Amino acid sequence: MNKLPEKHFINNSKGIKSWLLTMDHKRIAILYMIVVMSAFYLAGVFALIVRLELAKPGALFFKGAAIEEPANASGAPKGSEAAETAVAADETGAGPEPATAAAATDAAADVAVGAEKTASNNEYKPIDPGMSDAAKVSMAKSQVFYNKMFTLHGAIMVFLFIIPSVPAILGNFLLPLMIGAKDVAFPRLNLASWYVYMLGAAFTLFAILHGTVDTGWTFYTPYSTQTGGDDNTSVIMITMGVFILGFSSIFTGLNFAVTIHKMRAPGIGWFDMPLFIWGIYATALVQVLATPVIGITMVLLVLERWLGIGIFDPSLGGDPVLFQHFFWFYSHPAVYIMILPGFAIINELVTVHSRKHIFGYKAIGFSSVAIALLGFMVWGHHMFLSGQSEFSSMVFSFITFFIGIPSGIKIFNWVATLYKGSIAWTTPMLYAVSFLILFTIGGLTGIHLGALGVDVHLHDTYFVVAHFHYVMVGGTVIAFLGGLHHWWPKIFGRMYNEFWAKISCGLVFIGFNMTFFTQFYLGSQGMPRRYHDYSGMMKTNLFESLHGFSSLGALVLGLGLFITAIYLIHAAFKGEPAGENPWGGLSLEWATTSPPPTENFLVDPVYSHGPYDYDRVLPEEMSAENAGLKREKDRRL
Amino acid sequence: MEVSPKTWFMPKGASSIAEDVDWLFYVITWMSVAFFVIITVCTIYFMFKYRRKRDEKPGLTIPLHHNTALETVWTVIPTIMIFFIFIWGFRSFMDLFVIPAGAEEVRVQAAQWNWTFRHNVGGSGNESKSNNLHVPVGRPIKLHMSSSDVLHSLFIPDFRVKMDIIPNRTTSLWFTALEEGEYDLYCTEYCGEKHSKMLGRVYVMSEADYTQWVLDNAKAGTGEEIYNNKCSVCHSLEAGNVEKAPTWHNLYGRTETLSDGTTIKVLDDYIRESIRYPHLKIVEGFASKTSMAPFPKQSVSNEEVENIIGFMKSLSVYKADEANEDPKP
Amino acid sequence: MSQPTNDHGHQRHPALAHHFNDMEQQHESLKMGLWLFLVTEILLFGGLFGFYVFFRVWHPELFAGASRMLNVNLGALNTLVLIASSVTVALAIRCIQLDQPKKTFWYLIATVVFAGVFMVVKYFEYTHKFHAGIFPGENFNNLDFALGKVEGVVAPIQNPHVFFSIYFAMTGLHGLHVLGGMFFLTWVAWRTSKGAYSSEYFSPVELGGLYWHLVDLIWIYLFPLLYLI
Repeated sequence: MNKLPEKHFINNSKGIKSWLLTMDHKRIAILYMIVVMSAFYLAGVFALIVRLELAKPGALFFKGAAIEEPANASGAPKGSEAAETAVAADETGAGPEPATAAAATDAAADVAVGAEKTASNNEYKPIDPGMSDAAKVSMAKSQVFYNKMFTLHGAIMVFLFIIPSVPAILGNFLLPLMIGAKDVAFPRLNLASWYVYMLGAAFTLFAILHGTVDTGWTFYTPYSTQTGGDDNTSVIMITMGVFILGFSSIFTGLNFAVTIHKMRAPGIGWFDMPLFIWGIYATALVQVLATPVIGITMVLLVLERWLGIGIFDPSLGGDPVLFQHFFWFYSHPAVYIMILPGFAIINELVTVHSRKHIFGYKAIGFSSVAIALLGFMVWGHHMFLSGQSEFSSMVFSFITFFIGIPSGIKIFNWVATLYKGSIAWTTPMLYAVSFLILFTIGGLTGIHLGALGVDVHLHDTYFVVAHFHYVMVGGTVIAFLGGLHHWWPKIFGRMYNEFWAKISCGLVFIGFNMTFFTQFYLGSQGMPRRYHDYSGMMKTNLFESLHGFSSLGALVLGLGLFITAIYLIHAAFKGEPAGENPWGGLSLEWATTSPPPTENFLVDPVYSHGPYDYDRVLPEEMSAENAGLKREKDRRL
Repeated sequence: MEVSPKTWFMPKGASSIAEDVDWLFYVITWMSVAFFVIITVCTIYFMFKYRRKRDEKPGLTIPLHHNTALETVWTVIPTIMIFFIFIWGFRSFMDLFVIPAGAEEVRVQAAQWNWTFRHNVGGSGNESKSNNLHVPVGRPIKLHMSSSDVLHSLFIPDFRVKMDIIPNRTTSLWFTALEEGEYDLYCTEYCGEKHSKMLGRVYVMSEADYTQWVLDNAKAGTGEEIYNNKCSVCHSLEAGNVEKAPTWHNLYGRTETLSDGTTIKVLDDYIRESIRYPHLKIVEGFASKTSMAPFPKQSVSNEEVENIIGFMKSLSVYKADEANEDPKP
Repeated sequence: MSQPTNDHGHQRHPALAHHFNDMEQQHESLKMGLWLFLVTEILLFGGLFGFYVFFRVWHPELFAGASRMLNVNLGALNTLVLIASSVTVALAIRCIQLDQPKKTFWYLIATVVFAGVFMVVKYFEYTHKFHAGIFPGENFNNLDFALGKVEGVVAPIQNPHVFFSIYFAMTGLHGLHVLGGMFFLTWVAWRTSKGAYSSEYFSPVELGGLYWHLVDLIWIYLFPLLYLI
């Protein structure tokens, strides 16, 4: 019969101040957990809105919400094409640039010409000229709303959820425990990083409430320097939010790197640590080296918007493709910040739940660092069609292929780890298996996109959307969920309900594949990204079936994630006490109580066996009282 | 020429390059399926075969830490495979990028939120314009593209071609359509509110139909259009803006001093001459600047010259048949 | 070390944080942390240096002409001032290593004063530019430039404001870092006067000094790139 220790890090001190001013890495992990998971669910709601809109052609939201708009000065009713184009010209600040204004008016004239042509030649016209003005207004509102929703889904998921998620929650909690340290190197900096995150989140929230941006999470110029006309607030608020969040990420990475270098318990060398630490370390390197670049990019974007400095906007002398280079120089390494922690978790899940030594420790460790460093050299694969030279595209494609090899090797290593193991069908193990399957699909479809000739067809279509959701959700989120289940009993001392956990895991797996596998096909058939509507195309009927199925899958996925939240939160407060080592792990976090005491261990831990020595040591020999093995004779030092 | 043989995942290829692209796509796909099957089957098999029994006594597992031979094999083989895919992909890409000589050029203007395709009517200086793309079947067509405002991208899935379109720059793509018909054309770089409505159609026609279409739709550009396309690079419309060339503001009817010291009033004849033979009479102060290139009939038709004159008149305070002060630039 | 126990009986240095085992571990951690932070600063400025490089290659005439409008004398003066401040901060570190807190304090103050001089000179440079209509970005309205009347500039320049955007962005970001350094070093000086540091523990002095050297180094690159070529 297990029970919680009398005093542990959660009940050790009480009151909101003891939490908000804590320097305990475990409490900071929980503070992060609350806000980061809230961001996840918020962005998930936006995703559901996006999928609901796309389930059928035509507008869903704001349908019929048309208001009769008065005619504007040029005499045309406000909802009409010509007026809107002219308005767009005004908003782009087309003062001393007659080309723009004239071209836009040209375009308006063309549309008028087109309208005549349609009537006489039966030629294709995307917007039905017979549409009433009221319907056009509501269509416009629906489009703008949709554009904001996909922007927010992306921005919140990337910057407020996935980049902090594993490092700030699981990394913070586990890193000192796994290396036998009392805390991270800079506990105050750790707390500061949480407050910086909150500040960045506040800026983002302000931007959302003020009117939100519709630029896409990638903020490509010149649209991002022009949208919204004279009202700079939303764009500036959200880019400043991203800038601030970047510092939170840098502080975390810096802290972890120093901790791993300097704070390991005596006897723990680089090759004696769990591979989770190698993964977090590789991530920390990328966080420190890459994030400043997005920082300066956001600053330059704000200056462009506010002062018109002329770096990205061609009408001011700048180069829009330069923005893409700056942006992706960070954002590609950023995807390694997202996946490396996922890899880190899988190392622990497959070994503990199959009670088997990891296959290829050094290969996995070194390949993590290799991926982190190579990741800085492939940013141009997001830009094959941006107008950059064919030569640079060739170089980027070449290096991109080679970066896939270390990731692939890891998958083989993990499958080999299962061989002749003693495999428990627990929820963390089921998530690990889901990862192996889903990340493989995501990684392999990266080859389609890295192959230059094929990328021309697939770029900016739903194929890309499917690919990155497979690696980010099927990869990182699945691994993260597995990790949460695996360490939940350690963090809270209480076990979750295994039945509901398995149900949710199944719903998530099925729902995810329904949603996103369909999108590979959608993309190959030509469906472009960031489209609010797909009526008026030759393939509208085909796309309708596919989008409809995908949206149904999204509901299943959402249900699975919702149930997960319910039982996990319930377990934190009311779950069955889990004991020190419910899964039989051999790394140091299992050699302390559940939840751990504030100072992490009851006595100073001493290295006595490797974290994967399931061929030498029985987990039942681990004990919190000794912060290691019960037996003296196996201690290495 | 045979179109792409397998079309169960990709749409039916309708251009000369589609077959090659599709072959590569399917090779990658089947290789991926093979790896996926190996990984998934092994994983599921191990999950079942080595499942821990409910009442299993805890024990040690085998000390399998690594296997150099196996690891080498599963590193080297994928490396070789992807190297070949890279080469193939790169060659396809170069085929897509290198524009064949003699391709007929269609100028594309992307704007928020519509397309304008312009065809020159051989040698006349006039052009045919449409919101949809009309092309003849069976020969190379080059799209020469620029944007009026933000980033766009032109995508024709059935042809397997795509290229971003950038303001203040031009980008190009080319294709040869294989069959007459109608195909979807999309904007595929997010450009704001009506991004999803920036659609078009590609009408692939027989050579005869195409020639007819171009003639039917040919018209002279308006004065302002021609100014935007050809004159605005050097001539401003603003008062006082004389960086490179005389401003058109109040130009019509002005008395200018030429570089040889004589004066001339800027009226129709001088304008006609200056468009065709700009070097003959240059206004004082501009002789040392980058000189103006002549615009022959193939570039600006006679009708278009008249349209330019009409446009210039609209920019000046000068009124014929009245007593005028000399308009100030 | 075979069996470390919880070291509560042993005398711990008052400046040793609870989660570190000994002063050496603390000092090494702080130093590594600061170096990593400096790397992030280099990458941050790197973006701006990138901005500079691209635009210089695309518009060489713009840079050649516009840089003549900067006051080389003031720039050179600032360079000397910053180099002097680096010398004083290095001396401050040396003095605290020799357990001379009073000298340390004054050297730190001297550093801050030099930094202040730098900022004052910058202030004059900036206001002079503003009076001449030279602003970053769209508000730029220096007619001499637009009309090609700047000496050494061959053709009328399009978008002359871009050079000054780069100038203001780089020197502005640098100036913010100088200000930040001034605050930090002032705080360190105050702590020195309170006797917080000695040869056993002087990490903040050393870290402040390292940061300051980076700020100086960045200026040493900025000055020739912006003013001299």
